[in-house]
Amino acid sequence: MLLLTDYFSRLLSLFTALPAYHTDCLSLAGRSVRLNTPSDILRGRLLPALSHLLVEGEPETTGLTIWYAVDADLPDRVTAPPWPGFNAQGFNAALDQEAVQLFFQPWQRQLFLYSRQQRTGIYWVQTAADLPWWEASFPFRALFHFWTRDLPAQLVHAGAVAKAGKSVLITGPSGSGKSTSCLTLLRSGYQYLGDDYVWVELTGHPVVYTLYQTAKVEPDNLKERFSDWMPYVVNKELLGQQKAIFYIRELWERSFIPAAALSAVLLPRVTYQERSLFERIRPAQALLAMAPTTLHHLPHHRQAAYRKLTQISTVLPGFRWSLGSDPQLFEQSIDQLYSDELS
Amino acid sequence: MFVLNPRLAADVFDGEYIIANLDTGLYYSVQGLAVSLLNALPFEDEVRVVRFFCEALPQDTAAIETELPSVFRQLLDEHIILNVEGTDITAADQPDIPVRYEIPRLNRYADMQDLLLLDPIHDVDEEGWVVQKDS
Repeated sequence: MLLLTDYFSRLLSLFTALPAYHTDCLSLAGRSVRLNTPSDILRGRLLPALSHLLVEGEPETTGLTIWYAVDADLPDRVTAPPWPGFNAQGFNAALDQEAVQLFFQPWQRQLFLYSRQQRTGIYWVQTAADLPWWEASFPFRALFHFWTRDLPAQLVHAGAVAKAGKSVLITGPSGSGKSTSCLTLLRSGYQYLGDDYVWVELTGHPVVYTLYQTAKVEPDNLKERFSDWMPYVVNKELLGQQKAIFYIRELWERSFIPAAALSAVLLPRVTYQERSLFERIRPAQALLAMAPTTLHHLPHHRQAAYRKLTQISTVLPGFRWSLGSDPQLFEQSIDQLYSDELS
Repeated sequence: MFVLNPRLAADVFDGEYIIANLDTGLYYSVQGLAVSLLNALPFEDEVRVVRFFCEALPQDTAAIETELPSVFRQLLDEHIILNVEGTDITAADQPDIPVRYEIPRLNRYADMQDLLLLDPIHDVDEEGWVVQKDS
């Protein structure tokens, strides 16, 4: 039976045999990332979400190298992973993934592979038409997650906003109101670090870093709350099939910040009352909100990731945020939290 | 011998156990006297442990005898506590005496578990990729 390490080596050889490719360099939480691709189409689709991290010139050391391409760019065709047993989350518990990790959802023609020793990731999609629309909103998410296994850092399924140098993580499952809360606060003067996935650095006190500059809004929510943003939707022609996507740095450059020290974890919950209210919660409740939704999307090396999420929940105070219907009272509630609890 | 399932991630936060089965996506919180029960692991005989807590909190004997064995069975059913045989593990010393009686509880959170399904078998092309039926 083919080993996953051999499968990775074969794919990597298709990339390293390329006579020419384009390189973009990113700086992510103080570490350098090289993105190599021969594909202009993929580069055009995936790079905008990460454009705020782009740096000029070649870094002295590279923390992570990512190769990405479609089949037509490569000297040979890519065959599907031959192992059965992948679940809906792209994880295969029967496969030895210590040295090489693989994210593969069998109904999609795309692969994410990562070698720990080489700190090298591969993203491959059969054709540009096979690229799922959401991948352009959080490109290489699985590869960044694989990389964090050996770093004091963790991707968290959360939004983050800041004021006066202090940031809060806004976490919970899809539909809990985290994205709407982040974007509403952005509009009311808070600084923005993300509305879906953020990077949390755990050397010393937790610090949140912006990972993607994209924001995603459900079409109904767009009409109801953010209709004045309609001119800035980047995927207008596909709004019936996709969430509306915005590039926040380009819209709100002065409010878009790269990093901030974390002061609290907030758990929004939509309620049918007028007022928005905060109540202190136990660290266990913060963990039970943050871990399942993050690890559901990022199923590899769950033990290590869970430990880091436990650390975040233990160090930071947590608050349940009952979201009321009155926008003014909503803003007042978080202003009050900042002045009473986070000052 | 009854032991805490070593495959689970179990942490105590403010006197409450949070237990995660990271393989299945099931999460649990264990509260009240059930925390003392988990802290008493490993042990040979659950009846003796229940009796110990009854003697430590005599005014709550009736509640303990009713509720704690029930939660113990739930912990076994959920594979949080395992009954293992032929192990080298030795039973713990006498459990810590609980300060006061609090109702033992096991809360189960299965929000994500129904999404952890295996993908069904598909038709594949010559390179092994799934063939979409509508294509």
